[in-house]
Amino acid sequence: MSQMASTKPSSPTFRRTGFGIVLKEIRNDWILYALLAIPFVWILVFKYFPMYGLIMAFQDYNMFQGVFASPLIGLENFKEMFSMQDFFRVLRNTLMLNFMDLIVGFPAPLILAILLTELRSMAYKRLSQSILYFPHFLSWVIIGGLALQIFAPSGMINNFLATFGIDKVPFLTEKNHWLITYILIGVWQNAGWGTIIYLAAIAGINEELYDAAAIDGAGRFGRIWHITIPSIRSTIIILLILSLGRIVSIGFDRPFVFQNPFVLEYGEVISTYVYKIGMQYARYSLSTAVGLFQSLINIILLVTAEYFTRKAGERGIW
Amino acid sequence: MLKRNSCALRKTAGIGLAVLALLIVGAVPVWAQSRKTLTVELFDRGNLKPGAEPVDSNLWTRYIQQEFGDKYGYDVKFVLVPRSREVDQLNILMASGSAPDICFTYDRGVIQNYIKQGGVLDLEAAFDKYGAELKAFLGDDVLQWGRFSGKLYSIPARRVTLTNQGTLIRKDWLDKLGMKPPTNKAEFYQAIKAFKDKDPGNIGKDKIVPYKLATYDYQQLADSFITYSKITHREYRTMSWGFLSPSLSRPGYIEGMRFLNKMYHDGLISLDFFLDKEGKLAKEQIINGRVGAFTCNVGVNFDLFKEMKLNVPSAEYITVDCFEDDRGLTAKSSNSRAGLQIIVPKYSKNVEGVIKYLNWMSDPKVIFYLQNGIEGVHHTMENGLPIMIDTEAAKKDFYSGNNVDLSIIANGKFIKDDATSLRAEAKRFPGYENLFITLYGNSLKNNNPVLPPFETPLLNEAKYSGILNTKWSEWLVRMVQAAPADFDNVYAAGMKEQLDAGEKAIMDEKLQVYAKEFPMMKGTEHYMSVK
Repeated sequence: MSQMASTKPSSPTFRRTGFGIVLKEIRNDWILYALLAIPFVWILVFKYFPMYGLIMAFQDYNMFQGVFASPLIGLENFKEMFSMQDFFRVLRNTLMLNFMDLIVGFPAPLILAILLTELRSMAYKRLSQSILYFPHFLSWVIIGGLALQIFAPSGMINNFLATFGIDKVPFLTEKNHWLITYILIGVWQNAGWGTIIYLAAIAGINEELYDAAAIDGAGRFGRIWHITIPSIRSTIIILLILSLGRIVSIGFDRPFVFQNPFVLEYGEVISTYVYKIGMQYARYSLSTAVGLFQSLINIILLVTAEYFTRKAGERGIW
Repeated sequence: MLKRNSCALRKTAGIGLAVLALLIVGAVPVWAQSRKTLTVELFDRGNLKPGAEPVDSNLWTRYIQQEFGDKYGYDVKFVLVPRSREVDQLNILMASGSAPDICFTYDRGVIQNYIKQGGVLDLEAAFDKYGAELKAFLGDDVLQWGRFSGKLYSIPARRVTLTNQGTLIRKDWLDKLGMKPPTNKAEFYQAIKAFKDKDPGNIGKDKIVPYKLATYDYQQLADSFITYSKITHREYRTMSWGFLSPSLSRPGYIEGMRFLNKMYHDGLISLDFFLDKEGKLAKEQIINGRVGAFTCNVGVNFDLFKEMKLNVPSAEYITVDCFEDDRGLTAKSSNSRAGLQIIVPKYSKNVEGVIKYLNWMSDPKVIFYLQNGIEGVHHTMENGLPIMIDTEAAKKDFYSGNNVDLSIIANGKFIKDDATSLRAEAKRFPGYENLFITLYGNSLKNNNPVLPPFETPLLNEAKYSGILNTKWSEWLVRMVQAAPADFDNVYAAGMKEQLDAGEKAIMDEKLQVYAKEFPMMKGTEHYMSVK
């Protein structure tokens, strides 16, 4: 290093400053950085740049004057939002659906992954995996259409029950039944895909730990409980934090496809509400305000979850 | 010598050709620039039949380009908008500055919104200059719907059929049970209850649909419970009487909902139509002869009767007009003369072109071609009326009934005048022409007067009608499904929710506007007594 410095005394690139070292790192691994540049630019352009539009939440947006010329009205939109009789219902539903998804849907991939690991036959394991994560690739529109065919009052299952004289089950038309149907279909759709991450984590566990446990007399469930799960604890916690951070936002497709007037008491969520009020009736300012509120809660939850994770001794996200 | 000459000749010819080519190529952009582009919105209903040409490039668009574009100097381009999301798409197009010159929508609230934001053009000047034939075709009772605060912001289409809804009931089932066609609500109730209990068609008790409803079809029956004998002109003009989100505060309406509630709990109506978003279940029920009675827009479902006859040869519907109100009259709502509303975004540079296009289209010859196509290919003539050819080959060229998506200034088949148009429309349903005409006649009886629009724009209506429309189906479901003992509470709760959600704001604004525009009224005049 010092020899280099003496032969090229005036070149700043090789000075032993922090910046100099950073540049050197980049030069050495420039391929990796180049690969990273593309998604980085994508995020800048599509996620950060459009943020200037958030000002719409504080405007009386006039679609013909645009964002830069519409009049500012301060917190009026937020006041209107909180006074809408539907708003708290919609917020409650979003939280409720996400929370139930979390409770029911979060353990599912983990359990599936553990079960898959215990399988002896490799071929059967591969086959099951493929079949299990296939539903993830179906769009919600397709799944919704299928669900209607199967679960509607005049659908397959109810017709089948009718031949035995059993009363129709309102899977999709009574709000409590609907809730269960909605959550379970979500599990069906997502569990298989989630196993991939857990399987990868489990694959990284040292075999010797299992052998040692077996020698100590741990049965199959003992091994799972004492070795597998603790070893992937970090993965589980990170995925949990990420899920919590998204708990106030909810996808649009899934609730929209499954909604109908019978179940809106539980089925109207922030995303579909914003769509109806914002897009269909062009109340763009109001729907931006709702979206902004949603993001704010998300950030608070994310930071809180991160804080508690750090406190518990885990790594956390950043 | 010869060689040199031919060489020179070739050279000259080459240069000559090159100059000619340059002239042509150079001239084309100049020529093309002298034609303006007129963009027109066009619904895409996603119903392209096999072998049909694309929605925006077919014999109709070529006809339009030939007869209008080429003759008036315009390149006519169509901008496709999915029918089921037309309002969302229109909002997006308007907001992003890419809306076509000719836009349209049925929703007057949407237009109010654009006007409030200064987004659409006043068409009066161009209309006076270029729209003489159009003015004659539409007439003042249509045009008044295009005026907002006195300015002509939209050109409404002329609605050819004025009605809303009628009721049909199975004659063969009534005959089997020895019952006469019902003449009032009580008899109607008895009839459909008998359908359910006695299964005159022998199709199985669980398959019977005694009274089929879809989306808004219950309105005529529910509205008949309103105490029309006491409704004042002021109430008639300030409450919501439409079908998208009618006011629950209207006197007597609670009994209408109670009646629906009773029918629901007696198994006579079902709310399954909420899940049947594409109407497939409804179609299947009619085609298999399972439906005892139904109310719907005149003409709807008539195209299913042919197949129904094949499945159940004895099936036959007759029309009844039996939902009487407290005056003994079968009151019905009706549509105004205005249909689709055509608007021009403020950044359009082609207002003249728009008016010329619509004016050209108001020529009966043009409307006839767009709605009926070519004689021998799409229709045959019989007594001066076009009969549509009922083969797949002939039908595949039509993307919407009567090509209404293209013939945007005429909502419905238009031939010369109302009576002829009605007969032509009936001809679309061979074998059922008389039923159609009788149904149409019934649906006009005792029609409530159409409310002309207020002069002043209604800002609260534009603001809240969206939410109210969205929530209406929720309230309906709750009221119809409520346990009969709870019904009064559920209705009261629904009424309060509707008022809080914006209905009260709308009514208050309308009351103020009413006081301003009808200063002589005391508020106690009966609604039918005022002209």
